[in-house]
Amino acid sequence: MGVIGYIIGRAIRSFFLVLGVAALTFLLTHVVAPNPAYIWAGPHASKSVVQAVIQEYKLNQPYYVQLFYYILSTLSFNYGVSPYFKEPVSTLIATYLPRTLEIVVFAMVITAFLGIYGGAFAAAHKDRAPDYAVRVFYLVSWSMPPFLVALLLQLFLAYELKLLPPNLLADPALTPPKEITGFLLVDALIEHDYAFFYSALRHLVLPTLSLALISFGIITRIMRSSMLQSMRGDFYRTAIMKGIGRRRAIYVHALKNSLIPVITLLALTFSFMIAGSVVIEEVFSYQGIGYLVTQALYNYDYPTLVGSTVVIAIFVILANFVADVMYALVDPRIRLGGGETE
Amino acid sequence: MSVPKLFKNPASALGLAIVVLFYAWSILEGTLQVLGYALNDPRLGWILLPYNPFETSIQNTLLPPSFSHLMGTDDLGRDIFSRVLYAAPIDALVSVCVVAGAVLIGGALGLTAGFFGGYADEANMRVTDLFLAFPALILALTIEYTFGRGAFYATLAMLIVWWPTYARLFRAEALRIKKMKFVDAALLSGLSRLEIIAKHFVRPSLNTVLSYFTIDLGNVILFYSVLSFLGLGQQPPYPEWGAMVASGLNYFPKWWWYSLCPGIVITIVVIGAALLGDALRDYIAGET
Amino acid sequence: MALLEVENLSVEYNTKSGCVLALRNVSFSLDEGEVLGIVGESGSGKSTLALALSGLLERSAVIKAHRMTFCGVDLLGNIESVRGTGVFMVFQDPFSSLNPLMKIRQQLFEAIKVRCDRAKLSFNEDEARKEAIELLKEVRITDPEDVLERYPHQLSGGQTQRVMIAMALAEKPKLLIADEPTTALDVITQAQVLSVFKNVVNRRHMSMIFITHDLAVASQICDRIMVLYGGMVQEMGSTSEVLKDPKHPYTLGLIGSIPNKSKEEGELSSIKGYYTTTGIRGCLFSPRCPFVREGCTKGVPRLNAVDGRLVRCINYGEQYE
Repeated sequence: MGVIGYIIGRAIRSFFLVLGVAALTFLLTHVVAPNPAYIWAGPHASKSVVQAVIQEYKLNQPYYVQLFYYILSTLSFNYGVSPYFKEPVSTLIATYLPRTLEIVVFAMVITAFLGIYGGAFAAAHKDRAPDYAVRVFYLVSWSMPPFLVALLLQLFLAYELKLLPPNLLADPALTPPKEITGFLLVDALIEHDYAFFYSALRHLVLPTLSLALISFGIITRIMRSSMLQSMRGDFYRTAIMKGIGRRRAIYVHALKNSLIPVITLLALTFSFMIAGSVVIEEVFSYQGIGYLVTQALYNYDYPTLVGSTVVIAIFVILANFVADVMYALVDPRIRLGGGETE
Repeated sequence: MSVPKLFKNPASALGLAIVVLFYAWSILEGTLQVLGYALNDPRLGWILLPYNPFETSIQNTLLPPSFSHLMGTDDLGRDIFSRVLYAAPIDALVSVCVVAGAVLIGGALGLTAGFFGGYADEANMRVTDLFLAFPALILALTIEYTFGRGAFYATLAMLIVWWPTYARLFRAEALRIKKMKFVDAALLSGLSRLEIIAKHFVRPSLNTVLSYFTIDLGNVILFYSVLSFLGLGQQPPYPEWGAMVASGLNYFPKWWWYSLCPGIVITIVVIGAALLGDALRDYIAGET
Repeated sequence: MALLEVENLSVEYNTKSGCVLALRNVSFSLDEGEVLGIVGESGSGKSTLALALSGLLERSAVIKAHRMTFCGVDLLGNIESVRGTGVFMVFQDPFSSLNPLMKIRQQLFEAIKVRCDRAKLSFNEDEARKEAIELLKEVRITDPEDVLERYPHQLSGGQTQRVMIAMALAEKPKLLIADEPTTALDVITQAQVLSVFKNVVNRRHMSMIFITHDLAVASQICDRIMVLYGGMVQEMGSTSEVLKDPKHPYTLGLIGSIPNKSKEEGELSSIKGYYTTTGIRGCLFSPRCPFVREGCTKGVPRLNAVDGRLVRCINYGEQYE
């Protein structure tokens, strides 16, 4: 069996989840939705447009035929044409999603670092001042609505201290590089457009920080309790007993063992950040997938909303799959199998 | 550890105070609003407030916070503090409806799945997996868009994304309780399975879920504020916390109080629920 | 001079439900090369004693002692400097006492490195590897090269416990504390691991504190035995004498609980009642004692010297603390 079998099993599971996502959104948008044709066409659509929509999405066919075509188009990334942007939804997503993934990747790194070390630090100083400080910090940041976090950062770092630009993707005076990957930083580097790269990087800081601040709390919290549990374990006492010192016992032995539940949590954080980007990007006028979703919402653009929802869910499933694989690579008990406790 | 002793801890006491104040005010103000609506005299709704939350005034637009306007005024000259107080009941109602509904649905499905195991459990796990594959907010947005906008549909959408977590929680509880000896004894005594679930599973699992429930009241308020921020809550001119922050965005940062004050109120309520939930968790852990 | 000297050691746990006195005025000393067995039921304070000696008690515990010195080093303040290379402790559960994410090699190297650092010697991977293999051979692991590259979950309970002993040896401690090291193992493995302990202690001339609830196990390996009940020393003396002629009724009961010592016709005579120390006046064992009489509840009996050993029972002199 071993790790390959485990990974294949997870991959199959993920694929079925994608099918399930398609089925669930189908159920919502075609079956339980009141007047699907009118919702798909938008509120101000004329009769002929509604007729065209019925033809396009096969809304006059039996449900199983509709479902078949729906799943087919989901798997082939065909989500129809946006009535507002007048472009195929998949093209829109290909443009907007990478920008969000860019800030999410940076935010994940910050969140993981803050969460893991914050949690470990708090656990190492349990019930003393540093522990209380960390706990208050994550309680407050976790309890703040995402838009408040974004507004406060914008107010202090951009408007008061004028350290960073308050909104947009990059300086509007610069021409953006040709869209190759969709990732602004990567495209700027490919085109050797360092001025744009620098500007985009500066514009990316505030949304990234906001995303990190709204999501590190849960990781810190779980990391702290996971650390405390590890530090009650015999292997931790053995490490202390050896005389390697408390610092090494905590930050090497206990920390490594506490990471295992956190890996799964990071996938959840990814999902949480994508959702958070809807609000954060609205505040910073950062044109990523969250901005696309709010635009779809404001302009009654159903195909874009549904298409984005499906693609985001697929990315979350992918992130979970990656977490499962990482989990297997970190824990020898899964990697090598044969654990007596398994 | 007794209950009064529990609240000697200042953080727990603060949490309790915030939560009690918020819900007590919401019940009072909510009753007045409903009464005003029933008696066709909406003035009853702001009889306790410093100002009429709907009254616009061109002379008083965008005044900074002061003693006469604790949170300043908005672009139409309305008192933000009064509007924040007026909006509290809807958040309280939504939070209780969503969490209680999720506990009912999730509890019924999770407890039976955990108790019977087999296909029932497998089906429960796969369906909840599916719901949890979506970022909750994104799924809720799409659901609400499909059915319609407003507090009612927001509650419905949140209920749909909320119950799977509780189904998971109650399932784990059922598995835990199932291992205990008295369940075998109850089975031998000839009670039907559903009776056993009702008698022996509901109470103990609710105990464990109680602290989670409390923290979740705050989470729902947070979530609802985001929906409302995106224009999916009560429609204007009815005031709502998230929506107030959103309309203040146009006046940010110069007239910062417009957005920040409602935002800070949300934060305080959510912190209160989290602190109270933590206190309850410690209390329950100490009891068992 | 004795290796370890403990005088009036008391440990208190502050829990939410009040204070629990886990150890009361325990005094003893241990010579070099001596093996002391600490015997008692769960809750008697024997693990607390081991943790107190190795400085691993949780922070809610309050330790008081007139004296607790190891080679002249005060253990209450300077435990860090003697951990590992001075005192090493082996735990009960072999499956959880090694770090599950590190190979045996890494974990042994860590121990060797601590010793090298303390002795101001340079650490060399190749030499460490040779030494690790030697150590594993010494604890009778048959395929040391292979075991070095494994993770703890790939070893059996007996192997893991041997690895723990090897890790102890890597630091060359003067005192080994073993907290129920064989309890979690099956009978055959138990005997093998016990003989490894015996062998190692003899060859290296180490001292050992061996903690067990099983008097039979203690009798196989210990020079002296201390019987704990309710956190107090009830009886202490050389193993052969204590086994041959137990003075304290509790020791008598413990010997009666050993299956192969029971008389042919008789069933197992075990101690009546359950272990409890709360709400008892006088001798803590009195509620369960078959010889209880009026004087037993007057006060806590004093630990008296009787025939070259210590006994806390008014049957050997009616004196109270």
